[in-house]
Amino acid sequence: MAFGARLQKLLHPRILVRVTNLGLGFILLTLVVALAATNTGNNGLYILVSLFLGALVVSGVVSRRNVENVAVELDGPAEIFAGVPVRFTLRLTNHGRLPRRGLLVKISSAAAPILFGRLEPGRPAERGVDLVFPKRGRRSIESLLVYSGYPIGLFRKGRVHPLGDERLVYPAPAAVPYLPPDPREAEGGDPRDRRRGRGAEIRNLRDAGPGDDPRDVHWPQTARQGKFIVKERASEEGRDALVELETHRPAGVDATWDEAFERSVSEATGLAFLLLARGSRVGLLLGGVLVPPGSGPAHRRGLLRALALVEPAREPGRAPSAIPASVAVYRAGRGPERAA
Amino acid sequence: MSAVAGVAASPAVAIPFLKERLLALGTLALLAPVPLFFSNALELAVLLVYLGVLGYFLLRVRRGRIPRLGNLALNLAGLLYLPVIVLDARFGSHTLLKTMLHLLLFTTLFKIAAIRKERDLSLALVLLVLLFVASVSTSFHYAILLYVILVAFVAWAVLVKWALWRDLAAAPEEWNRDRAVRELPGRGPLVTSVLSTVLLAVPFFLFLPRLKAPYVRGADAGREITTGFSENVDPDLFGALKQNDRVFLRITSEEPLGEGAAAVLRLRTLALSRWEGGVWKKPMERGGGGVSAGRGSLILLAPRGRGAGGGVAMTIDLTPIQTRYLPYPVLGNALRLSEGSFRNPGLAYVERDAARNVRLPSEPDRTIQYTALYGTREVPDLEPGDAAEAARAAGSSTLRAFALETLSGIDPATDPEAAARAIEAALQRWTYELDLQPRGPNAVEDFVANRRKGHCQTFATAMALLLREVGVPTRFVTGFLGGEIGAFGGYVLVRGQNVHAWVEAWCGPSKGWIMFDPTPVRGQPRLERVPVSQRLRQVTDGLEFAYDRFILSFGQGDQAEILRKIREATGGALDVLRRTGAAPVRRRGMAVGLWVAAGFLAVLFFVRRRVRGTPWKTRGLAPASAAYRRLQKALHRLGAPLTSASVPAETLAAAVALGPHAARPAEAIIRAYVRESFGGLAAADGEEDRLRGLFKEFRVAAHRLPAQ
Repeated sequence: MAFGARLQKLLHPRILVRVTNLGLGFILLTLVVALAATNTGNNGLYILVSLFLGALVVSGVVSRRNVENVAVELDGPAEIFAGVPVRFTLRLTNHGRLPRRGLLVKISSAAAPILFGRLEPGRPAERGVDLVFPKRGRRSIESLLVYSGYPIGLFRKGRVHPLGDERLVYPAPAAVPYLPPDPREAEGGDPRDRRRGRGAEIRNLRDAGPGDDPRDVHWPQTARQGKFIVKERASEEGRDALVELETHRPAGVDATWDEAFERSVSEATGLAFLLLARGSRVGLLLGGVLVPPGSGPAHRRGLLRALALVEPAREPGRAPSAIPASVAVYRAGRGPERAA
Repeated sequence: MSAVAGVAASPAVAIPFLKERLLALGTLALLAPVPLFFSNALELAVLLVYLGVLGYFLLRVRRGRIPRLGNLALNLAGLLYLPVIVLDARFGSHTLLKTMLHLLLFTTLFKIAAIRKERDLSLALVLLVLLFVASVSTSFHYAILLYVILVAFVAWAVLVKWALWRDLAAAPEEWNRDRAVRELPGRGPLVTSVLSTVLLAVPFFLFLPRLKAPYVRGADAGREITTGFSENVDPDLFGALKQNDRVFLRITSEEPLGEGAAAVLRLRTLALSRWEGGVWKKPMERGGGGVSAGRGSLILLAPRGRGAGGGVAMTIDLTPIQTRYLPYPVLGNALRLSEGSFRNPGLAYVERDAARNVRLPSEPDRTIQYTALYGTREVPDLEPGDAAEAARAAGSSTLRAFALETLSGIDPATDPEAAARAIEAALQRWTYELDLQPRGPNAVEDFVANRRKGHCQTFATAMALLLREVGVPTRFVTGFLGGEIGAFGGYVLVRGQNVHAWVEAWCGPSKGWIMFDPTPVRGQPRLERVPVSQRLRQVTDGLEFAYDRFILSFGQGDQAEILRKIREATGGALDVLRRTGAAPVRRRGMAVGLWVAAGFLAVLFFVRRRVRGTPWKTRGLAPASAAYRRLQKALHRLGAPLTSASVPAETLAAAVALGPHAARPAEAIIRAYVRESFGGLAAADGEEDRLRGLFKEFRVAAHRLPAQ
């Protein structure tokens, strides 16, 4: 390290120092005993004062060395949902030559400290830690505090390790209170026009053939006709769907509206997940902003991203003009509708 | 960080780790008052009761049944103890110190048994510290150092865990989860920390300001030590002193003090001339010359300066022997004292009286050190001094008759020395016996006429009185003779059994005062080595003496002495450097010494590098590899966490962090390195210069950045 950098490190070490209650008491005790020694000339008291002063110096040096040269990393999963505990990996690496002892890490002021009892030089140590991001959106873990009262708790020294780890927290998917009805029922139509599949709906009855699943046997008809009759099911796959979320924030509303909005966002997320799981291609209509329907992991992340970042708007959004009639529109916070 | 909340830990208990903390406190509480018994500040019964109750309490805590006294119990105990204090002070301990210590022990026990809040633990800790301070400050035995170091080890280990328990109060499950933390601090760090503390404590102890004389009153206070150097020497009591094996002096010398140095170790303390009522009495204190003795100035023992200041230096450490008079070797010719020898450095002078006694302005209350210079022969004392007083005969016809009978054919008026020798020889043929029975008013006559048995003081008194009866002025002299050669050589311990008495007789103006020792040789103390079986006792006595001298009695004068020696050493070194021109031989020697030291340091440096490895070695590397290694070294010095094993991607990332100006040349170097090392492509012509230029460009760009 360059001399200037070393000097600056010495003068401004960026190590936080707090004298504990025990430390204050110890210093006070040292002063009292020093006063007694000076007033009485008792060399036994001078021995004690000397040892106390020596202990203060040793404690100060050791405690400082104990928090130096420690690197901190925090790794977490790619998807984080608001209010849902997620497991992060906290990794401390000791770049010094001597072991570090009794290190405590605090990720936030409210969180309990995480203890690393002994950190060998050169070897990282990991701990899993559950974190909760209460709100969706761009959130960052700006820094961690690594501190320790080692050796004897007179001083508590630590360093703030900047992380600058910005995460996008997705809204927690709310349990959808109802199963959205199949939009194809609303428009009528012959079930036999639907694709064959393994859904719950019966598309057709036919004679059983090789390879048919015995569970598809329609027993009443089989008994009536005297031969095996099987159910032919329709595909569960729906068509394109849009989850709509009203983002216009009326003037004069209070915090309850914001809470309801957040619940709507969560519901929209839940809807989107459910529809994606059913095989639909899902898009979003957030105010006037359209995210075209799609499917697949990348599209899913895109939907989540959009829901994480959606904010209430002062003006009502302009509905996009070209929404095909066949696209089912599910409004979060209200029942399903079909786009006009 | 406000956007994140950790998952809540388990709910906190009232006092986390209570059991562990009570056990830790209990361990300290067991150790804290132990030295009080050995320093007679606490009775054994009280200590045993305290330890018994505490032990029972700790057993219950270990079993998980933590007793917690309520406020009612505490108040009741306090009220009940009030009359105990009165009775204790009045009829029990008789001293305020003991009464207070009893109260402190009582309070400590009840406090530990009534821990209900975090604050109670802190208070209990404070009480233990007070007990510990009381133990150390009332002890005057060197074993207290061992005790302090033992407590330091235990306390350090306890406090390490205590700090962790405090920090983990919000997450106590962490303590059980991590095994490594329960082994803290670990043997190595514990030893290192405590020893470092002790080593650091030494300069603090030496240089903390001393505003008062050291307090050395200890267990011996109040116990009269009747020395032969007190104001009056009662022959009947003198013998008791010779049974005291306490160390009175510790002597070292520039020349080795072996068994052949017995003559050197005759130390004269007090010469008395007044014999009144069967007791030798101190000289009348009328004028003696006062001589300034501060700052190491020389005090001549021969008043007219004969034989001044030369010879071998003998260092004497003298414990308080209840007298102002300083022992010095009979072969001595000068004394040197320092400020530390005086209770009040402002009164740094000594007095010499007519009997050639040297005395301090006040009786030392602690061990003092001074130096005596001696030669191979006595410096003749030709001053008559108090010869008139010393000539007063007792007027005993028995003594006169015996003296005349012994001196048949010798005229004491014309040849006093021969007369003295004759009497000395006669007495030496009698029997030495350390008889402590008091003899009554005519003890000396009875000794001379009948018993002819006694100890040194009896023989000396007899000879003095016998010579006075025939007109030879004679002084009675007390002092020390012989001693124990130290277990490891190099020093001599002088004990009570080395106390001795002899006489000095005035043998005329040409010969002056001459020393005679009438005690039979068998009864004279010797300078000897102790048997192996007694070496241990000698070592412990030596340790006790050293502790008393260098620690208990350490004072302002000793500090001044240390600073003076440092100043002399520093000044001497500077003088040597300044005078190198005038002392070519010394300069050559110094130059050789400096070269040797530099060579040694260089060897040490290179060996260390060899052993540890030179992580940034570039010698022997290809151009791009060497440039890459230099780049890594420069980044490392700028704070990047790189090692020589870091991959190019890490090196590049570290360079990119410095900004585009530094990153561009760094990237070019890294590319060249990768091509050379992994692509197998040899360096082109001029490549080395190009890389050198790139590195220079990188360094310029990196140093323009604000410091990280």
